[in-house]
Order: sequence, then structure tokens, then C-alpha cells
Amino acid sequence: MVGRASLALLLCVVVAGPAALRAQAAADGRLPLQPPPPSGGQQNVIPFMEGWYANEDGTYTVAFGYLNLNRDVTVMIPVGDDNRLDVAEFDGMQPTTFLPGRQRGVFSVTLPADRVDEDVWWSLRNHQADGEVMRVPGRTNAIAYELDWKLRPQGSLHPLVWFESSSRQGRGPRGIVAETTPTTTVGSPVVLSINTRDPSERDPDDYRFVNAIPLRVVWSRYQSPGDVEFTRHESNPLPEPEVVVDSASAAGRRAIARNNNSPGPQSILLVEGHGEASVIVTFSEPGEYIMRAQVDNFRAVDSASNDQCCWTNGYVRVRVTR
Amino acid sequence: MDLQTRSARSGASWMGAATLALIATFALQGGAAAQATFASADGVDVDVTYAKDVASIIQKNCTVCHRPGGIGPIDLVDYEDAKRYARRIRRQVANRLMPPYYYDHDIGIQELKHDWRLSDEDINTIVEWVDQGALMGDPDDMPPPADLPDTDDWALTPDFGAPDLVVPSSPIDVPARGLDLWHRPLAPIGIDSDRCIKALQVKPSGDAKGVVHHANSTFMRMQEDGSFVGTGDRATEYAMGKLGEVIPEGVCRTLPADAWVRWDIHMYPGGLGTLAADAVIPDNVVELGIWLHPEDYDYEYKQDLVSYMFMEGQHDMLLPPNGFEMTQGLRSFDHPVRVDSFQPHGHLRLRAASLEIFYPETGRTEVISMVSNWSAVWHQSHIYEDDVAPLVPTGAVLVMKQWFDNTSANPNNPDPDQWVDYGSRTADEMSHFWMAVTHLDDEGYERMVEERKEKAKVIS
Repeated sequence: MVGRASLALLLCVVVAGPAALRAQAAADGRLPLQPPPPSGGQQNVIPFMEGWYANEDGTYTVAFGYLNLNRDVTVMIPVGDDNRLDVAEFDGMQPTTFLPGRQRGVFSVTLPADRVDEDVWWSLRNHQADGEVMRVPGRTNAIAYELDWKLRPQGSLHPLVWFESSSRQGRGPRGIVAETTPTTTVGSPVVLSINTRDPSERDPDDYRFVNAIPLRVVWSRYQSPGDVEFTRHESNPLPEPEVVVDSASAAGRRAIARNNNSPGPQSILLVEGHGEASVIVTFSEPGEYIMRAQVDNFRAVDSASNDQCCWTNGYVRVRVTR
Repeated sequence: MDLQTRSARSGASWMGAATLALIATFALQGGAAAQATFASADGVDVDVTYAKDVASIIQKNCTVCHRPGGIGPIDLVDYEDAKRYARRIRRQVANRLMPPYYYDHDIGIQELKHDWRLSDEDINTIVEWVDQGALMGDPDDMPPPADLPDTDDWALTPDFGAPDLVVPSSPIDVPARGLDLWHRPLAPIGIDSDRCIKALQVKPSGDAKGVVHHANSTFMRMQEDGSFVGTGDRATEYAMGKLGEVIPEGVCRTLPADAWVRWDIHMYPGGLGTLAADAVIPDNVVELGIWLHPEDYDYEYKQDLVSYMFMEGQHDMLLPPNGFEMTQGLRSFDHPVRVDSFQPHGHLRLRAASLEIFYPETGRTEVISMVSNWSAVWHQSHIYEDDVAPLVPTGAVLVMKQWFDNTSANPNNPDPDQWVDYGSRTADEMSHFWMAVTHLDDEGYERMVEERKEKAKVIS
């Protein structure tokens, strides 16, 4: 009996294992245990629906993000047949520059109340990959995908953002688009700035909130016909290296890691939880660009990208001529 | 015979001790299967009645949840209740959906602590009772009323009494709709010396039962400047439906001196079901009950609870729309260990999970545990009985597999057209196993292997 039982177990593994593996090819065609191929932009970009918001005015906002499976290559897919929203009136505001990895909630579309049952499909095709169209529906029918504007358990809220030229404020992935369009020429630097304030309501008796939670602003290219170079603005000096007291301690190791990974010029930390975040940008090609600023309070214990809260998008169009 | 030959050739050090556990399990299972067959065959000619045969099964296995104030959606307190829901009861127990303890009964280790599964004999009795018309029978055959604990009591109280320590989270209001919440308060414990934990249970109180998806509790210590750092010890993990954890005798899971609990409570507003969209459940509290060993408790080895991820790390998982994915995690230790418990973790698309051990010296693989019908609503920590908990030699590999179904065939799937990746929300996915592991040395491992070999000889 013992021998039969052991043999049966062994057979189960032998038979079930490879069959299961064959049936479970990953989205990019790899088998689950197959190592990823060298990345050179040949992997797909996967569109994601992050979820939907029921707005106070009766409209619904659907947030989208993406996963660029290329670990270290930015992929460009212009708006058109290979990068489109199939409801034409929403088409055009999606990204064309896809940074490596998972980027959550980079844009949204807002449906009128009487079109809440409508699907908005986002389709992407990276011709450097296998040419397969990756698509996802934006829809509001599943409660499991509902997002909201409410206070998080430790008081976090989406940061408020605005541009100097406008009195309007944006909040959440829907964010705000600057009303003015700076103009520059190829190779001539231009300063881009965004203002922000953290409206979060935190318990002052909690030691974690004795000091303000810094806001982080990260500028990136969003729609870009050419390359973009970021230069550190004078208001965003390189942080002084931290003094490492005990390199063997956990705190010491963290300090060393921070010293070795100083944020780039496009990343600005507003330690007081409010202020203006500026970066100098130089463009390589003429054309119409959109630059995106993501403002987050991810240093709070109840705010994180994979928790779907809390950050806000700000977009600036830039016209670049020769 | 095969195992004895191998053992004589090269000693027990390489031999899968998990195999020994399985030997004992299958030997014991033989009896249970025979009983079930006997009952089924006899059932055709023997009247099965509620009073004589069924009431005791329902009292023991169902009524604790299915009663006024319980978490079950229907009451199963008396004959009228059972008669009214007879067809539903038959369907649920025959398909092993109730009681909600999802663990395959025909493969791997079967001897588990706090195992809620019905025996084959009990299942056959209920099926036969319903098929014969769900008769009451002679009231004089009724068992005495069950002495049930209060629905808000600690489930481990019958085993250990009241907990020595109760650490509550701060209260939080949970809206009926909206984005999942992650509540991360800090709470003091009030113990000034290191202690060994005997058992733990996390208990959402009141309406929190319906909204707490999971609650992790980690020990932290306050620094002189008022900030907190982790001690490196985890108290426990709770997920919806989980009973608790019982630490085996002779080992210690440490509660550090002066520790605080750092809660990480995931609340899922959608769990409130049919409430109005603007409704709010106020003041939800989650409590951690800790049972302690005496201060002079003598132990040999340390145990910890760790989340073991799949191979590439769960942040790399990606489920295509209307498709499937399998993840696989591998883990080995540079010392022998005993796996005391196994609990797969995932969200709405997880359907199945297995734990195997691969022995590099022989190329053998053993299935230790398998859950083919995993449910996000009922997380259980499957605690192996002390005599069968898998003993894993140095270098052997724990193989942790999970299967995800993002098709419409998965009844829990909120939208099969979506891409799904790692995330904290219930709508996103995770892939890991919680396992309580006792860290042994060679001497202790070999002693335990020998003890089990002796026991296996006695059984056979």
C-alpha cells in the first residue's frame, strides 16, 4: 500500500507538472519558467484599466495605466492605429512615450452620466515586439474596480496641483492640463513648474506625522516626438550625502543606498508637503510635446502606487520649433 | 519495502521525511474510507433520520456559524431549518463546499489540526437523509442541544482559555463602497520580557467580519526618539475565514520584549454586500489575541511565520484577459526544517495551490498539500498534526505552485477582460504562501526522522 501511494504521488507530479506548464504561457509568449529574453524594446506594452471613480457631478472617470515589459527601454508608439482609444472623442490624450515597467494611473477619460455603460477600449501595438494588439476595456460595471476620493485610513488624500497661469486645481489621476503652452526651440532649455499642496488630514498625535509628509514630484515625457533631457533646477539642489554612522546597521545600509541612488533632476522632493517643483527641459526634435508631472505622497503609510492612491497628474503641452 | 531498502542503503538523512508523514496518513485513511463505503452501502436499507443521525453532524459542524448572530447566511439550528434547506445542504456538503475548509482529501498529508472537513461517512449520511425525504424521526433520538460558544468569543478559547493578551487596532469607519482601505495603526502590547507564543488568533469584531480581507501584524519597538523599527518578528497573518495559529509544543515563536503591534489591515468595502452605496459601518476594530507559554517555558527550536514568494517575485506576475497563469516558487534552507503550516494567499483569480518537496539527491518529488478549489473568502492556515508535519532535510526544495484563472469560468472574477498584475487591492493579485517553519539542526532532524520511522513500523 505504501509503495502504491508513493508511486501515485510521484505520477501525479510527473503527469500534471509539464501539462500545467504548457497550458500557462505568459502574455508575452514565454513559458512561466522561461527566463525573459534580453530586452531591446522587443517586448509588448500592456494597457491597464486601473479602475473608475463616481464623480460628484454624476460623471464617471476611468483611469488607465500601462506595463512596459521592456525592463530598461522606453517604447514610443504614436497615437494612431497602434495606439488608440476606440471612442474617438477620448482619443489623443493617451501617452505615446512608454517608460519601462508599471506606470499606474497615467491618464483618464471621463464619461457623461448617460454613457456610464459604455466601454472605452485602449489598444496598443508595439511593432518591435510580436505585432500583437494588446487591449483593455475601460468600464464601470465592477465594484471591485471602484476607486474614490475619500480620506484614506491615516488621512491621505490626492495632492492638489495647479499651474501658475491658472486658478483651476487638479486632483487624482484625472489631474489638470496647463492652459498655456510654452514655446521653445530645439536645444534651448525651458523651465517647467507645477504647484502643489497636500490636503491630507493626519493625526498629529501619531509620531509618524509629527513632521510633514514630503510630496514627490516626478517629471517625465508623456507624448514626445523626440528625446528630452532634464537638468536640475536651482530650486532642486542635489541632496547632501547622508552621514553614515554605522555602515553595518540597517539604518546605515539604508543611508548608503540613498546616497548611491540620488534622485535625478526630474524628481523633486517638497519636504514641507507643498511648494513649486521646477525642472529644466531641453528637447531634441521639433514638434508638439506633452510633459507629465506626477505628484504623490507615497511616503505616507497609507499611500502607495499599488494601493491606487494617492497621486495627481499635471500635464504641460510644449511646442518646440527649429 | 521500497523505502526500507533505500533507507538501509544510505541512511535516513536523505530520505523524504515527508514521505514518512504520508505513510502514516495513508495508513490511517484506509480505515476512514472503509467506514464511508460501509455507511453508503447500508444507507439504502436503513432509515436515516434527523434526530438519530443528522442533528449531531449539523450541531457539531454547521450551527456554530449558521445561527442568529452567526456569520452564515441561513440558520441551521433545528429540524425545521434543516428540512427547509435540505437540498441546499445536500449540494454543499456533497461537493465539499461546506464546511468551508478547502483542502484536497485525496492527496498529500491529511492529518490537520482544526480540520473542518466532514468525513465521508458524515457526507454520505446527510446525502442519504435528504434522498430519503429529510425525515425527522423519533424526537427521543435527538442529541442534547449543542453548547456553542458566543459568536464573538475567541475560537481557540475551548483549547487554551481566554487569551493572555488582547491587542486591538484603533477603530475605523468603513464605507460600503469605494476603494479598498489599508489601515496601519500602531498599538502597544505591554510585555517587558521576551516570551514564547503558544497560539494566536486575529478576530475582527462585529461588522468588521464582513470587510476585513486580511490583517497582518508585525512587531515593532519604539526608539528613544519616538520612532519605531521592526524587530524582525511577525506576529501572525489573518485573512478572511482563517481560524488562527497554534504553535507546536517544544518550539518558540518569539514575542519580543517591549514590542508594539504594527497592524496592516486590508478592508474591502465591497464585502459589505447589499448595503446602500452611501452607508458606513462605523468603528471597525480588529483584535489580536495572544496565548503565551509560561516564562520558564523550555523549548528546543525557534519557529517563524514567513511569506514565501514565487520564483521571480510576485511583482512580476501578469494574467492576460480571459487567460490563465501559473506561478512557481522554490525555496531551500541551509539547515533542516519542519513545515508546521501551509496557507496559500491570493485574491479573486487564484483557483488552486500546491506545496511539494523536491529531493535533489534522488530526483523524487512529493506532493505535501493541495488545494484544488481555493476561495478568497476562506483562507485557512492548514496546520499539520505534530507527527506528520513535513521534515525537510538540508538542501531539499520546497516547490510552491499556484494556478490563476482570469476567465469567465471563475465565478469570483469581477471582469475577465482585464489584465491583472500584482497589487494590494482585491481586484489585483498576489502569489505567496504563508508558512510557519521550525528551524532545526541536524541532530534534531535525525531524531525526529527516527521517531517517525518507528511509528510507521507500528502502524504498518
